[in-house]
Amino acid sequence: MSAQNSSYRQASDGLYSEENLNKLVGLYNKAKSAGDQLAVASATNAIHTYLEGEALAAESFELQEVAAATGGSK
Amino acid sequence: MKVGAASAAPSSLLRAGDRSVATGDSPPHDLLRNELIGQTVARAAALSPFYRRLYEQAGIDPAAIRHVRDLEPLPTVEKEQLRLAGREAQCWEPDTRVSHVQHTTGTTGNVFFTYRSVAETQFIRDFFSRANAARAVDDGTPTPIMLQIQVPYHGTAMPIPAKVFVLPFAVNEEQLVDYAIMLLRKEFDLPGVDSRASILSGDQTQIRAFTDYVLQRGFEPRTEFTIRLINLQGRHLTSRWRTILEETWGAHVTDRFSVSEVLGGAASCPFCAGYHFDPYVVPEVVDARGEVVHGEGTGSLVLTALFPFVQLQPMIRYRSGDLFAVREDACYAPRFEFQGRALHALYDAGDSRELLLTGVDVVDVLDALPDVNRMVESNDLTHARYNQATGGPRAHGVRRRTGGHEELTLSVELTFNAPLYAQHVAGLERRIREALLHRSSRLAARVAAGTTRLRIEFVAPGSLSALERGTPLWSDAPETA
Repeated sequence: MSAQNSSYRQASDGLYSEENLNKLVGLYNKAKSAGDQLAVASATNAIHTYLEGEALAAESFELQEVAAATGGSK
Repeated sequence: MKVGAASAAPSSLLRAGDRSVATGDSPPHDLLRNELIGQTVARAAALSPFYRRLYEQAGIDPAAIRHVRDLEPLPTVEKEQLRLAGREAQCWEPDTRVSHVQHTTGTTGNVFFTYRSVAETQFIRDFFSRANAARAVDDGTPTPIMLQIQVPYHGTAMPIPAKVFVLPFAVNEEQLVDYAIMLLRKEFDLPGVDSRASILSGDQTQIRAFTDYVLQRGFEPRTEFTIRLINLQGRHLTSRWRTILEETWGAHVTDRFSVSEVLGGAASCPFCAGYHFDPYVVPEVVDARGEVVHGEGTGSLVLTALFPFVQLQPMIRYRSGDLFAVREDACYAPRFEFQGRALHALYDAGDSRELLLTGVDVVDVLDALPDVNRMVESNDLTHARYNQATGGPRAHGVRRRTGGHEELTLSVELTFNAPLYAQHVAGLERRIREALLHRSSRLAARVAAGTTRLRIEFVAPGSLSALERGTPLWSDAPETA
């Protein structure tokens, strides 16, 4: 591994920290919250609020894995 | 053009362009993207010789990319470039191990394989466990049961944790279809889980086939089953099929746009009837001059997958080959409208910025007509007598230019021999022509001015190939004086 690669890797290790993961989740949920608010405000079928393809609502326990996201274009 | 529910949203929430709700300089949909874009580009340049050379040749310092708007000077890349570059376009580290192999369908003959590492799969699992848990409403509602079609058109799907109880099903043989119907009728008694299935999810082709099948067998899904949501992936959802699915199942229909090469896509929006892209992928629309469309416009879709969601195979400013219209202030996030494959679009012969007809224009018009012959995709189910519920229309267009005039001929294959039903066919010709002109004011103006003639030609069964993703819809005949 080159020195450039090595220094990059050290810098990226922090990405997997608990703190950083929670930060990324927070940013993701801020992006999703506008759509969630719309769905709730318009009384759309509640299930849709949390179901946009692979982005599904969950409790912190009882998570199942949903095979998704490989898609296939239109 | 997609159709969907009219907006029922409070106008105060429809402020995508309002940066007052954003943190710093980023609207909410760009927060995660701006957080990760710098690392995404820097890592690709550090670990992938292909991307490093690409940016060196363009004179771009990867460290200068800190915001999604900084992406614009970076060269776009196409599938064939990445395929030829092979491992040089990937980011291998000494301990990289592959967990998932995914691929395109290869309709053009060149399958593109995408490899996902153990590290990125683990990250996706950890991320969505937390993200979906954080978004849950703790209202005591039981976990919904979802029937999911799992067909490996694109390799091994990524596992994403969610609050849903998954039951797999398939429709490629009679016994499996009966199994699916049995699951739809089954009343479960499981702690914390709904008693009956309420979600159908998976590949659109298979769900169309399943819907056609239950209707042919005389079921009444709306009253016999309890499906409330249908979640579709793959191919363009026409307005006719959206209506069929909604009315047959009595369910809300959502569909997703995505490409197998890129993790992350777009979900259809019930408020604006367009698509909104996932926060972990960066969408751009690039016009015929190669410039990013800001505000409103139509062009080619360019996607950037973000690290650490994607690690082994970076996709930075990747041209998907799809055409989209974008309007940034149309909903709570920029609204994207699928316009079909770029290969299926018809542009002005002398000006590639002048879009005359999109692939979606042609497909949507022909999809509404039972006279149009379609590709047969499955023929082995005993109880399914009709076998054209899923296939695409058989059609091809030719442009002929003579002097200052042009003639567009759209050949459409029918399920019967046209001369035997001359009166019916005359009405059909009018209907197709008027519908196409209604969808394109630019083409309609040219036809009205007499500079362009639009002809609809009908051909007998077996004359044309089905419209494929990888082949053009229109071709140019040699120009005559």
